Amino acid sequence: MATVFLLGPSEWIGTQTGPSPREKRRELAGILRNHRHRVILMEDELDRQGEDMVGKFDRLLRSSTDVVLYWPTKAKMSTTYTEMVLLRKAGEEGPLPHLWFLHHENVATIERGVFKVHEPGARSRYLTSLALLGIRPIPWRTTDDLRERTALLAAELG
Amino acid sequence: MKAEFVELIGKEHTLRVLFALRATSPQRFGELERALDVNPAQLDRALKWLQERLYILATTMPKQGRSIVAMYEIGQRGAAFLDAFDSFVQGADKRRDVLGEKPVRELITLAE
Repeated sequence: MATVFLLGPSEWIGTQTGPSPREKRRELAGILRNHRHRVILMEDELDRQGEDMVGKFDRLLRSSTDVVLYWPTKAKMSTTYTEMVLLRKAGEEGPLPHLWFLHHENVATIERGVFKVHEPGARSRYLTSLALLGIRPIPWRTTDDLRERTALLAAELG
Repeated sequence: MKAEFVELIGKEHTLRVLFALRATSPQRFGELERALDVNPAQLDRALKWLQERLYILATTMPKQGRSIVAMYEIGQRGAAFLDAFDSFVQGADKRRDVLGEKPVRELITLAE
C-alpha cells in the first residue's frame, strides 16, 4: 500500500462548466483509495500547532511514498507552482518519493526519448525545473482516459 | 477498434520493446533503437503507445545541455502481460501437434 500525496490545481482560469480541478482531484483520490492506497490532499490535512505552510508540506511529503501531480490545461496554477518550488527545494535536500506527472497530453510530450514541455511562459519554466528531479509522465486526453490511467497507476503503485 | 491486447501483440515493435525492457531496464531511446535495429519513428510510436497505457514507465532525467531525456523501464503491467504471454506461448508449444507447426513457430518467434 502506497501513501500518495496528490497535488494539483483547484480552480479553472475561466468560467467552465462541470467539475472543478479540486473536484477532479478528489475523484482521483477516490480511485486511488479504492485500490487501498492512503491519499493525502493538502487541503484536508489540519495544520499542527506552530507549523507554517512550508513545514506542513514538508511533513506530508516526507510521510509519502509517491507524489502524484495532476496537471490539466486551463487551470489556475499559482498554488501548484508554490508546491513545485517546495518539491524542488526538498529534492535538493534529500531523496524524494516517486514523482508521477499525470498530465493532459497538450502539456508535454516525449519525442524520440526527449521530454518536451508545450506549456507557455511560467508554466513551462516550473515544469522543466520539476522534470530535472526525475518525474514519470502519464499523459491523458479525456476524462475517461484520466480515470483509467489513474486506476492503472494505482495498480502500478502496488 | 481492436482489443487492447490484440493490438499490443499485432502492433509493430510493441512486443519487442516490452521484451527488450524486461531483459534490460532502464534504457534510453538510442539504446533501444540500436538493440532492436528499428526505425526511430516506429520506435517512438511503440514507446508512446506502451507508455500511455503504463506497460512501460518513462522517467525524466537531465542530460548535458538543456534537454531532458527519458529513461524507459518495464512497468508492473508490462511485466504481468509478458508473464501471461509466456504462459500462452508455452501452452501453444505443448499443443503444436494440434495447433499446427507453422503458427506455433510464428508465435514463438514473436517472443524472441
